[in-house]
Amino acid sequence: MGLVDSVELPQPIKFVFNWGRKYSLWVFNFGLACCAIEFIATSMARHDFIRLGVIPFAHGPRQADLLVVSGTLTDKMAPALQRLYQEMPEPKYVISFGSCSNCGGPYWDSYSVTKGVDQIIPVDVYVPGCPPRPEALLNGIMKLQERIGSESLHQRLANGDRPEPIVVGADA
Amino acid sequence: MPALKGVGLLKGLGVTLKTMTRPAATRQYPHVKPDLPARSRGVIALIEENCTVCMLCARECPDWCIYIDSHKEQVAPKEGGRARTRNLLDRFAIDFALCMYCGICVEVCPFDALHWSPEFEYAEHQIEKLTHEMDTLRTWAYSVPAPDPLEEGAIEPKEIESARKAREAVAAKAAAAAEQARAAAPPVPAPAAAATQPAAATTTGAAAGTATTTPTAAAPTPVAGDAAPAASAGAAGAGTTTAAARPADVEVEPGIDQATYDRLLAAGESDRTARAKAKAAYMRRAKAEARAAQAAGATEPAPAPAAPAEAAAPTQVPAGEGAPAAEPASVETPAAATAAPETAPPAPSAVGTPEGAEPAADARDPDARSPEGDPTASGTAAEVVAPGAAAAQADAEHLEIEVDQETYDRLIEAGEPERTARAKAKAAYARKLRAAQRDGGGAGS
Amino acid sequence: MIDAARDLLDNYWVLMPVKVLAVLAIFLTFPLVVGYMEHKVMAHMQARLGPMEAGRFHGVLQLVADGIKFVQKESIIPKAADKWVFALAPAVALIPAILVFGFIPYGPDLVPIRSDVGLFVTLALSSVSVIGVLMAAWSSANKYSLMGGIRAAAQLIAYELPLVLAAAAVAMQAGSADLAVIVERQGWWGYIVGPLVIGFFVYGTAALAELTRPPFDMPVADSELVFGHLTEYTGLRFAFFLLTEYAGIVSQSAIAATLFLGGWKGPFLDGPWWLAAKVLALSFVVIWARSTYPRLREDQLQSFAWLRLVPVSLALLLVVGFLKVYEVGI
Repeated sequence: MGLVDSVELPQPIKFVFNWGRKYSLWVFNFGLACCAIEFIATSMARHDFIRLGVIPFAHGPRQADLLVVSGTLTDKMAPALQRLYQEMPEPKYVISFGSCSNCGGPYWDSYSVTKGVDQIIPVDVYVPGCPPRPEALLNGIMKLQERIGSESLHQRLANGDRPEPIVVGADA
Repeated sequence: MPALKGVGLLKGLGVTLKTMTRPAATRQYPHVKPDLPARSRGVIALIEENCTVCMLCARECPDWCIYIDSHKEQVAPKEGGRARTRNLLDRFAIDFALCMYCGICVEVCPFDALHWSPEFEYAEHQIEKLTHEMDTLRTWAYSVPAPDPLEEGAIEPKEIESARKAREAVAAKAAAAAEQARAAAPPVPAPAAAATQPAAATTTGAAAGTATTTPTAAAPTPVAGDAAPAASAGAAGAGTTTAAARPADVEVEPGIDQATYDRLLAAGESDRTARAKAKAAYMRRAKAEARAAQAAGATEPAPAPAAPAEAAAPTQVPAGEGAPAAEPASVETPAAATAAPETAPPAPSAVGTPEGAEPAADARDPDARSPEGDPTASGTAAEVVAPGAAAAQADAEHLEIEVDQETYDRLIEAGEPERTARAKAKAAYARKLRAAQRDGGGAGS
Repeated sequence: MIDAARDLLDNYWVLMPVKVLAVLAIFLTFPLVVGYMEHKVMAHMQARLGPMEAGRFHGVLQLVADGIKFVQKESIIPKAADKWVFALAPAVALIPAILVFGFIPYGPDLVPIRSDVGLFVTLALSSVSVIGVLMAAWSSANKYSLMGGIRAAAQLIAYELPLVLAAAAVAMQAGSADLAVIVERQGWWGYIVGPLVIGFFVYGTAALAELTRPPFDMPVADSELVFGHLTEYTGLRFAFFLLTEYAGIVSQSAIAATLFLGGWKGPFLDGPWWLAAKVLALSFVVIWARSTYPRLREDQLQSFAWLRLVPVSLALLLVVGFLKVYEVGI
């Protein structure tokens, strides 16, 4: 992708770079269902996630850093989401917002619903709820910011990205 | 009249400018935690002591996101009984990634083991971590808020009412006993002192032994007081009498009523049945005698010291969680003492009674509850009755709805807006009036 | 000592880099200040708070964080795009925006590049950026980009006319197209006291449209055209366009302040601070308009320019000419 991720940067520069990414998360809302309303509520005056540097000015995926998938993803819509994700420039982050996008939620047994967006794109933070309250999204954003603050861009992109693989029943 | 063209544009600028000079509506979440109402659907908390593994929640769950594992266990038989089996919970997990927060599990739980907690901060980086096990669910139970206080003049929930009545009856009985004791004491001053001494010891013993439970016992409202007020005179008195009255039922040497046994055998009953029935008969009689003896000779403090320990024992919950256990004890005991002498308290399962399930968190977090919580349960009954006399004069046909001045003043003082206060006061008045009529009608017919 | 320094500064090879650095410093700070102001003013006009966390104190470093972020972003050039034009477009838009800052009189003797036709140079430079926009639009190989670019071109052509006519009225009144002279011939109250107040409004509206700022932001209308000519831009290139936009606000405010509000002149102590204050005040108005008015329709935009602003500015030119000939007023 570029210079900044081809080598492991020295700590102070890494800190500054991470700090920049942390507080400048231009967000793209992939609103699919009722959770999108909660997302919008989070962007409005009462919760106002611009406070945290989450800026809803990304008109399209090209300018976005953060993709929030909020709502029921159907198999029909899935290619569009995947394409949208691929259109975003690295480094990019994904928040799965609500039960439907986490793993299908109430539609876990449906023939037409994708059982979680993590089946087609890598997800950084899962926000539980049906729908989650706006503060829960803010909490998810803060979790993501924590992760960004301590991550290494080099490693993130070298490993083909992505959070640890999912191991089913790892700590059950 | 359409004003000058373009004035609207200036008006618009005025609106935005005005908004800018006013404080923003934003709540700064990470720094300011939201003040969530009771019953917010944040997360489902489990009070595992209450769970009997009936599987209702798992079966009713539309998403099938509740996972329960359990095993059966033989409980050692009581004297003369047979061994019982009981279910023990091994795993209780909820997959919050899947959960649709419908609350059906909370609704159907017959033993109030599941509750809504307003916690919402549990976003995760890995989806499998959203499946939360029993221990996490248990920790959320501590943040379950007390239910909203009942409305002014609302009808008291049945279990709270019965608990209150039972407590009052016990208190009255204790007062009578104390009166009797005092009457009996004067002739011999020295023994009297000796007699009161153990009584005092009993009080302290009860207070110590059931430290966590006393507050709830004192106020069977879901809103438990903290230990300090409970230790104060009246409450502590009630606590001890409760403890003292109860052992009379328990402290009986088991035996067999020979006459009954013979009679039943002669009637052709099997040996086992006859023995069991005979034993029951014996116990009934023995207990009745013991109680009678106690009522007559309350001066004799002998059984009392043993009592608190006995009473405290069943209330101790394995997890050390006092609050949920305490209430059933307090409810159960007086009931047994007053109404049904035969009923032996169902030992540890007492935890499962509905009152017992009142959120355990209350005792730990007295600040979380609303200041109006307390008066509703204990206070309303009195309030409802008090205006009864006045209201009885009111014509049944047309109810003059007036403002309940007392309520109105109180609400105004509590900082409610004038309109709300007036509305609530009116409602309270109407409710009282109706309650009074109902009572009057019930008494008349 | 001071004389020696002054002598040294007279040397072209010393003075020039100083001027360049000063202009660059202004170019890099003021747009950031205006950007932060936009965040905060807009937020408070919507009963919000705006950035609060970046930089701890009220999010003052929000735009710095944005900048650091944009540096790290992947720079995507679409496969079908015209690579060179696509890559060059941000520079074509950005460089004239920087140059405009060189012609503005910041104080009595603080004019980095003085020119007899300074007014028209600045106006010409600020309209060069439309070429960058068109390049971006065409080279992106994206239909939304192209439509956005064409809208931008139509809009800039339409509003260039009233803009220049209003500025011409000022030049006529001042009798010079040299920005420094224009400022000197104004009182501290500027030309806004008098018939030229109409010119100020015409100029302000046209400048807003030139900047494609709301309510005239049809070229990037997100509900119709995704992001207009910026649709395919990522990372630093996008950041340059963004910077151009905010630099445009600052430079247009500075030109407006110079033409109509008396530039660096002020009631008490003349100097650059007056210009800075006026620029920030005008930028505030730009943001204020953004958070107040909804976007116009494309045809409304065009008819407003051709049927309202152009006739008004022509009439203004006539009026100022008459006043000048008969020496009424100033």
